[in-house]
Amino acid sequence: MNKLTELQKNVLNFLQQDIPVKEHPYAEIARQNKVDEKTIVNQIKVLKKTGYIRRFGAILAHHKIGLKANCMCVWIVPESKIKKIADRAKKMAQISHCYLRKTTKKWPYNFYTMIHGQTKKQCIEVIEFLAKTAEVTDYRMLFTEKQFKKSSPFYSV
Amino acid sequence: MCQKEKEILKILQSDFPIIANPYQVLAKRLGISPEQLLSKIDKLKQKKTIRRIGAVASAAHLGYKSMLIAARIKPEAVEKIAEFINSFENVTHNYLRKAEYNLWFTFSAKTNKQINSFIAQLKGMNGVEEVMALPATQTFKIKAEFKF
Repeated sequence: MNKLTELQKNVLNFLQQDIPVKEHPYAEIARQNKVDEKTIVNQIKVLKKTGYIRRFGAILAHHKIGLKANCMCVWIVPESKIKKIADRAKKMAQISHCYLRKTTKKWPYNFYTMIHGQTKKQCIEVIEFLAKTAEVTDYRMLFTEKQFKKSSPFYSV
Repeated sequence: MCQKEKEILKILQSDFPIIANPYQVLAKRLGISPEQLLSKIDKLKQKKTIRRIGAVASAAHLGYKSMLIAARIKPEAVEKIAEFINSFENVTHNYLRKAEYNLWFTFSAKTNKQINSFIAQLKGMNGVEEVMALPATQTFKIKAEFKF
């Protein structure tokens, strides 16, 4: 992580904010770093290729594009079925995040999926479909009741 | 949202070109002028449909750990505790859910020490009954691109 050049660090800090909506959005950052726009563009490509940038583009507010129902579904998945359910979840467009997590004595759920739909019913259908195809019966749907905070992370470099 | 706006959002979300003049190229593909595209994007940002345009960096690549934390908070204290949690820049998501653990949020930091000291502080607050940290042991998918 210390392999980043000063220029790359500046570019990453710049890109994690809101880039200007202008015909040449990188003109200013190029000037600040005394390089040309092409150099900035090449650095963005390098950062994307090496995985420092996970995604590049517009970040949308899901509730504004009709996805009003959001659900975290937690599952108890036996070791032998993890690969199967994860492979299926990965392919489903309505599922944005999917993790295996540590359990506690009081919280035995080891598998987590985030589901987004236009309605609760849609989310439930996605979950029931996944449960059926992966043959996992033990799960709980925790719908978002209220969003206290949702912002973009800023990892300063 | 009109059809054109939907088209613009989809292309900006999933197909943003990494070139010096992205909007010129996108305008051409959308069959509108660059000026029209820029003004439509401005409007979509004002309406907060577009939260921002830029990069999502990989926390792991930059040495950050992201921890999912669930807390059991007395209902009457939820608003106040949520406000306290939100005051940390390390927290990007914070949701109320219907479960015995009613508050769910993520805390990102460079060290476990920072995360643990935050948890200890939270545990000491009035109305906080229980806090559990749920570290990911394997990530199968992170894709904040929405199908709509």
